[in-house]
Amino acid sequence: MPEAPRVPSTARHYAQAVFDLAEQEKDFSAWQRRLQLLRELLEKGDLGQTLAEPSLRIAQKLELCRAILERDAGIDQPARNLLLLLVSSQRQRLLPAIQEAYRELVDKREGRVLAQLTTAIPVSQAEQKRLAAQLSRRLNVEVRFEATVDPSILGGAVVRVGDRVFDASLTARLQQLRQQLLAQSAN
Amino acid sequence: MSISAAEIGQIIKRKITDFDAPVVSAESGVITTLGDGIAQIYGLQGAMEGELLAFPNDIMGLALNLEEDQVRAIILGPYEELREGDEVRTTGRVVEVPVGRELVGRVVNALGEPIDGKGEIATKERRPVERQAPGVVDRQPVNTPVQTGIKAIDALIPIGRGQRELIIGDRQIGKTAIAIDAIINQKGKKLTCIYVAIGQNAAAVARTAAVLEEYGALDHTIIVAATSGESAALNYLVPYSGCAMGEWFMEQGEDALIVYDDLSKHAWAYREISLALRRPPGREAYPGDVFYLHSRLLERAARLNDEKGGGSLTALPIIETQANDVSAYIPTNVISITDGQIYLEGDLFYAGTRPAISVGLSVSRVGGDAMTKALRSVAGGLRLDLAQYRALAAFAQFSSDLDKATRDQLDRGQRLTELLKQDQYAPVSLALQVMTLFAGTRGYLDKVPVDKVSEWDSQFRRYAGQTLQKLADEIEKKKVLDDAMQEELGKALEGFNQGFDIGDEAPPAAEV
Repeated sequence: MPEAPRVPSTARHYAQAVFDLAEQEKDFSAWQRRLQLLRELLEKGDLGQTLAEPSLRIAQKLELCRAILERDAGIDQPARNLLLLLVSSQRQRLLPAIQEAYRELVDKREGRVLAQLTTAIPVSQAEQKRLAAQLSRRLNVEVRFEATVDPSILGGAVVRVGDRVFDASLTARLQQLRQQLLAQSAN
Repeated sequence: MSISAAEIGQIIKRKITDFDAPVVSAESGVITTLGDGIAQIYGLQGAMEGELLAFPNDIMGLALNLEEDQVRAIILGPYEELREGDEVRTTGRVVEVPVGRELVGRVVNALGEPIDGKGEIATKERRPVERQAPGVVDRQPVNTPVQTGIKAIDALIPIGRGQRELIIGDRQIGKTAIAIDAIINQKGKKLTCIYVAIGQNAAAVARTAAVLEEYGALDHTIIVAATSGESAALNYLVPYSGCAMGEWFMEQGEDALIVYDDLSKHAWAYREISLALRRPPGREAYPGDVFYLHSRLLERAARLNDEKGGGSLTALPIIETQANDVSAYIPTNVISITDGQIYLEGDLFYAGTRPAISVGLSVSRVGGDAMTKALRSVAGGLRLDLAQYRALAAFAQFSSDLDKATRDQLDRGQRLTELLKQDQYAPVSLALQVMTLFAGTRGYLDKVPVDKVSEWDSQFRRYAGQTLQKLADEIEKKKVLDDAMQEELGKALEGFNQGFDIGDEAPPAAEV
């Protein structure tokens, strides 16, 4: 099953700030792009590792970042500032979490939610749409799916919306049957 | 009872065809850290305080710390199989234990599962281990005694039904013995006993079970045990489980007695959990709410009013002190919660006064109202007599010439102290208590040498069993000792004393 990304509360504060900025600019996608670019920058090469190095002083790390950002034309000023801010307080590792929290905020604003759909065998787009429509009606928000395949659930489907799971998998049903039979034998 | 394989097959087949499981809808989270019996779980935003959590492999946990983006839970049962990254789900339930009469005579663990190898327990009901204590309007004052069968307790520190009486003292001086004697004495008295063993070694629990069985007391007793080998989580939970079982009897309008042996270890278990949960340590490293830990447990002991059935749950918590220090944190807490304490002293124990109850420091704050009239009429002045004797004895050590009044008081005190000594596992019935204390306080023992008092006691008991049965039955039934009965008893005692060989004419013992 896909591991849910963990978002610590500090990341939420940064995400909220970024979201407020984006709201002022009335352009949510620009920040989404910026966060994605910064994340790629940190993950590609060994920049992320170098920045985590405890033996380097923060001033040195900031200098290193500036030098790299000079050469990378794709990253604009607000994005640069965010990265430098994060590096100066040793929080560049929060970036994926900030991206995730930002996406959640945008989704909430637009009245949508990203749900994880897990099935034992791949399901067609049409089926996904049908399921999403059903779920949307029930939860009163627009549901989009991120589909994964996990044969270990045997059959059925597991849907995760945030922390909530709707487990209609065969394993869960077998588990329930097992418990009922055991409860029966205990009496 | 046996079911054939074909029948089992039928049942399972029907179960499977009728099976209809709703889609499971639950909050989920992921274990991020695991250790010391504590799991840190990311997610579980909707978890409730005290909610039961389902870990993989049917392992359960208890949500205790709800934080901004994580939940810390204690794991009930073995947690070696759990891994970081495992999924945890909420269940919408709280921890429950089976309750009911079916548990009587059994030994169960903190979750109510049998551990005595006598097979499944077919209970019909379950109830949450944590419950709100009965409110003010649901209670009535304590007015019926719990006869412990221990002369010193019943006469000096009487315990009423619904009372919380603490048994406190150092290790190995007879705290558990008092509780066990009290349980043994309830044989045939319609009072169900629950013995909760917290953090004891498994051998001690087995020994207790064997003793109770030997004296026929297991037939009215439930033993709920969390041994020192089990996790702190279970040790923390076990008194509440036992209490839930006791409450069931109380709410059926019956009487129950629960012994917590002992709450010091319970506080240790809670301290361990709290520190592992990173709650701030306070005095002696106990968490801030260690008082509430015990107060909410002991508050559940009650005497319900007649509209609620009039049942009762009497609690006998035990606290172990270190080197007689009653002013340590947990002892002072529990002393202030309970309605009195039975204080056991090592010095008395090693001097041969057993049970080693310190009369001066022991007190029962509500039990006096619950004392039977018969016992009150003979034991009224006993407490004062003994207290004065103690003071005089300490003083008389320094001088040999004493006036007669003082000497008499010393003599009386010595004999009363002797009379209150009692062997283990030998509870004394109410009638016999009344008769022997009558003899002691009305001077029928003054001629008996001090070292012969215990012999006198055992001979008198035999004599009473043979010739005073009618009077004894009357005392047991009416629970009073009226003038006519006093006269009859006085005559019988005089007659018995004439036949009792007091040996060489003893000099009036003034030396102490």
